[in-house]
Amino acid sequence: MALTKNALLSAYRKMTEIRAFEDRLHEENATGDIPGFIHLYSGQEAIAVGVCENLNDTDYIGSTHRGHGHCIAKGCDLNGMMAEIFGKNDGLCHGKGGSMHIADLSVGMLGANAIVGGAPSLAIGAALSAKTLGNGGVAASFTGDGGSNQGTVFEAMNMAVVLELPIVFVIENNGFGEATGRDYAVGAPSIAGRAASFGMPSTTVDGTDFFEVYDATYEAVERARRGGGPSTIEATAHRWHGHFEGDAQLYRTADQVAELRKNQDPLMKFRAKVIGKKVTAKELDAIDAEARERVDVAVAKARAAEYPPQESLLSDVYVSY
Amino acid sequence: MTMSKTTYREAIKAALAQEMQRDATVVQIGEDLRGGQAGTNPELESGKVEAFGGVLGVTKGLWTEFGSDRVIDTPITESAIIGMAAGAALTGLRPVAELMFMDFFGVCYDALYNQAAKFRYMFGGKARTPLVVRGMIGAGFSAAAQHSQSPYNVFAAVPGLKVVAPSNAYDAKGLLIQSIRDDDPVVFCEHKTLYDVKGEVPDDPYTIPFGVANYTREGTDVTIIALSAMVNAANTAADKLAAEGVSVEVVDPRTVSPLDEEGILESVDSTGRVVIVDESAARCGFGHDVAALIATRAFGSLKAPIELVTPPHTPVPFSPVLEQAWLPDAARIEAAVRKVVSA
Amino acid sequence: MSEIKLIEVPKWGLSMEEGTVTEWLVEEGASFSKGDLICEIETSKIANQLEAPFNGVLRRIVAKPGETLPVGAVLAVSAEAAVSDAEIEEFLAAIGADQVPTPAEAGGSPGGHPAPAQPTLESSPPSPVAHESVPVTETTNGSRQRPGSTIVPEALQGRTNGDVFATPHARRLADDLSIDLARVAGTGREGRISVADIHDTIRAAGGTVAPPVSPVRSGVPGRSFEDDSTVPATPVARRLAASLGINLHDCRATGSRGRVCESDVREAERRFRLQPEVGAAPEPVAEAEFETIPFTTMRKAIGQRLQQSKRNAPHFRLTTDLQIDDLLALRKEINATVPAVKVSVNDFIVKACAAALQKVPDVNIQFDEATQSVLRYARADISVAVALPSGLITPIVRNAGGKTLAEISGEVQSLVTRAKTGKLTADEFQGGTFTVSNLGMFDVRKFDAIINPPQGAILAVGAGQERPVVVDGQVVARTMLTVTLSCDHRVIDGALGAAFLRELRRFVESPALMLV
Repeated sequence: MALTKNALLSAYRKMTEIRAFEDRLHEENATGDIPGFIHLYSGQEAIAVGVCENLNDTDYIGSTHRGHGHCIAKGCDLNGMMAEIFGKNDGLCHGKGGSMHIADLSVGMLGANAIVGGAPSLAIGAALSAKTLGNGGVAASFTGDGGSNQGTVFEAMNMAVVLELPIVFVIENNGFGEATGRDYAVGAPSIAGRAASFGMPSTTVDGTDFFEVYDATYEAVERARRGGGPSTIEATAHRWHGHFEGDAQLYRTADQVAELRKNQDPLMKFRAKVIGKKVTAKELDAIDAEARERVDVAVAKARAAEYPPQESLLSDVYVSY
Repeated sequence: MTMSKTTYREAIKAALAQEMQRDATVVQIGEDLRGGQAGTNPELESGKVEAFGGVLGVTKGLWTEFGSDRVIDTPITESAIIGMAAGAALTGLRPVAELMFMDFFGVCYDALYNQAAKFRYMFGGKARTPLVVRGMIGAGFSAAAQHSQSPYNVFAAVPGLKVVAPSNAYDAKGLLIQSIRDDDPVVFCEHKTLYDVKGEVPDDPYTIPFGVANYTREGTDVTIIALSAMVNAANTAADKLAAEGVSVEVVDPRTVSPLDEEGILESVDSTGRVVIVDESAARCGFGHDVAALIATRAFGSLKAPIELVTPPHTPVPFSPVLEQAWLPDAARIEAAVRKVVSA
Repeated sequence: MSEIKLIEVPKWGLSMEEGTVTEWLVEEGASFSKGDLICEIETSKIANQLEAPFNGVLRRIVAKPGETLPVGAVLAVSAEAAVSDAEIEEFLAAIGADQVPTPAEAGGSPGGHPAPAQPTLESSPPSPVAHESVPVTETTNGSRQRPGSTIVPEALQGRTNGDVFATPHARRLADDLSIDLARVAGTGREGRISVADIHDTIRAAGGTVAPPVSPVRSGVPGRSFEDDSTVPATPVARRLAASLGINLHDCRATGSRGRVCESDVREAERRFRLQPEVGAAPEPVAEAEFETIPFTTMRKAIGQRLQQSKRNAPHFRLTTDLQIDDLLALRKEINATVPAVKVSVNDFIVKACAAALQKVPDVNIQFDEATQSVLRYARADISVAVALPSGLITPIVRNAGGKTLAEISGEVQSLVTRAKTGKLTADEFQGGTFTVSNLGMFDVRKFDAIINPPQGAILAVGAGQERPVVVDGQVVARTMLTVTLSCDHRVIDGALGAAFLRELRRFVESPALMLV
């Protein structure tokens, strides 16, 4: 699939924003100013962006607890995200949700989800809406290799096939479900294979290669839009940080992580493929710098912002009671 | 407005049908709402036969009227049903998902408890989840331990959910229409032993607001607070006691959440004696919630300790003699009234 | 000028001095005919309704319900509508209606009939009347009423027409108070009007709302009426409950296998019984020489038991003096060396009695009146008499013989505390095989006590005193303590009682014996 220069730059911009955002959060978290848990996406950028570049604002995605990458890829505002993670009133959820529940329905982001395996059933709901309302929309849901074992995921997959729903199930296989390796937790040789047995087209791609992810998603989305039903894409990549910030990561060695950063960097792989063909290194470097700057601004704004007022505690439990 | 003698079941069906006619975004999702998908009876192909119409016939005829796009039969996968309904509610539909027996909430509770109930709050007010989950509650048909429970107390404890439990056909239709039109997630509990009970029901659509109790009879000596099928038992006991000169006021809250605190407290302030009868639980039940409300806000009006009539702390037994002993009935309510009047 | 007539407290019977208005049966502003019942009056002997002595219009109620007034005092004023409120005010002022009554002015009009005189303004004597304990205020709509009643401003008055969303009790209240609900602001869901809304609206419009009156509670829990034949219970418990008229549903079930046991039934009985009687109205107090104290349930119970004991058991008494110098020395030593322990003389007595009972087990008995049989116990369960403000109770130290002095001491203290706070359980004070009653702290030298049924004997202990005694022909000072044993002669003879006292002496005068 040949992408235009603009498309390439747009994709790179999103990926490097994710990289800058997550790396910065890693530093900010160490100061102790971020409440609660955060789960960082660095290393998996190509999956989120490769999928979301095929989607519009009116297509919905369901995400996981490791959802910052999906949020940014889908178009959530960086400032709103950062403020939300700091628990401030200006956050996308007015500080009521935090890192694990960042959502913006206006850009089709159904929210990060702290329940493992929670997204697929919500996403098929979005797909059902699109199908019923006949607006040509599709949905995508992200699930990890660990989450792929949840019963709710199987039920959602079966339901999607039975009702012929326009959805793409994206399995992000980053090799670990918390501290347990994929090879232990997943009994079958292939997660995509399991999905295929539900009766839908299923494929495995290199999740560190933006283009592989993009192309596979393109096909799946087209299929969905023309009423061909659901598909599954298993994309293999690596997460560079721990399961959560504070994870001592004793299940792998520092050397192994260093090797991933060196040889499995999606941004590096993207650069290698595009530099000299439509895009220059300088252009990409400039984009890197802009991304870091935008993240700097987001952090500064988030730190300066107000916490939610006391009344916020009781508001928005219901539309009306 | 014309009224007809309608069963609880028919009233619910009418609510569903009328709302689906009015609003194209209202869809039904559940198991065997029509039934017969991939069945082998050739009659099914003609599209005129509904193999089930819901396990107790509540949705029979709806598929015929609205088709597969609006009345969606699903595999037996509760978490996908409720999860899908929650996601659809977030994104433009007004789904009515059927959880055939509320007892089954164990296999799909996350979608309700952690997802649908909390979207609006977690997303800072930027989401609306106009979802209805309707299902059967209640003992009395020897359906045994896993098909006879009434967990509305569990749902009511969850901030973000509304919980409705009508006791008669009139309330059932009005409250279901209200539930469908409401923009928040509503759990609508239909007592299985009430489906055939008839009442006068308006033919046209109408709504009953949440949080407004109904007094089935007014009285001055004792207040009985009862919900769902227990309302009938309370009325029976009240009739018997009236013949002996004990004037009983029966308060049916109709909605567990929001709860008509004022309607309950006004009655207690007036009579000073309370019997609460509730099928949900022997511990941490709806009755206990109401008792705490009364003890904290109407203590000064009480002339006697509050009496609670609940089942024992056991699963629902199968054998009819045991199930009858398990269920609170008019005789136990009557004994409780006598006790409270004697203090 | 139209006539203003007074309605006065009637004299019903020669001895009636005063009456209390309990209820007005006619409202202010209403007209009445001769012979109509206009109010209820209670005297020390009767409650009766007052018949109107003439036709009239009740313009002003002077006596509030609950007010006690002497015979002849003004209860109310009747006058035709033409008479203005102001004239009525003047009239009342003239006859001293605003004065506080003095008790000495009891005894109003002589004569035995309730018809009041027809006073004119000039000739009426000042009579003590309404005790104006609450200031009368003028409200915005001009009517004079006492605060503490509900007054609805005219602006709200009317009938509710048509459909208004209101709670059933709000509707009732609106009917009762003649309020048009359309003029009330509803703050509930969907604008529903509640009782509270009506009250708020009344106040906002300048009216007043009577404060709520808390109901009188008996404090006695209600009794169950359900069939209790299926409640698991021990056979003893079931029989006992039946005989006491207690429903097993009202009992806790602490017995084996989740059954109601005897002590659970006793506890329920105690709960239903140990409440002071309410509703016994004390006599009006005016200037009585004595105060009538209601006979509480507890007093009644004590009275009945002891009367029964004295009646049924032929009491005889044995007295002896015990020398307690060694005991006091031992006590001092123990209390000095064992810091946590504060053993009293009575603790020693209890232990000594237990030891003596071990030696003379025929005194360690209960007598079952019903079966006329003697139950001899192996262990000594010693009841210790405790005085409470409300009466006497005897908590039991079970198996006193098997307990150390420290244990007895601790247990007695705990029982006494709980007795005083009313927290004893039934089996902590019912039963026992022997009682020790000690009035030594009041310096009583000697007394004898009434046996505590179903026991056979009781020891009355006096104060330890330094007395002159003769030892080896010399008069010396020793600390002596006089004890009197009362025995039931049906089951304990003199010789047996004496034998017990001899053993008791051994242990008390050589206290070291209690330690082995």
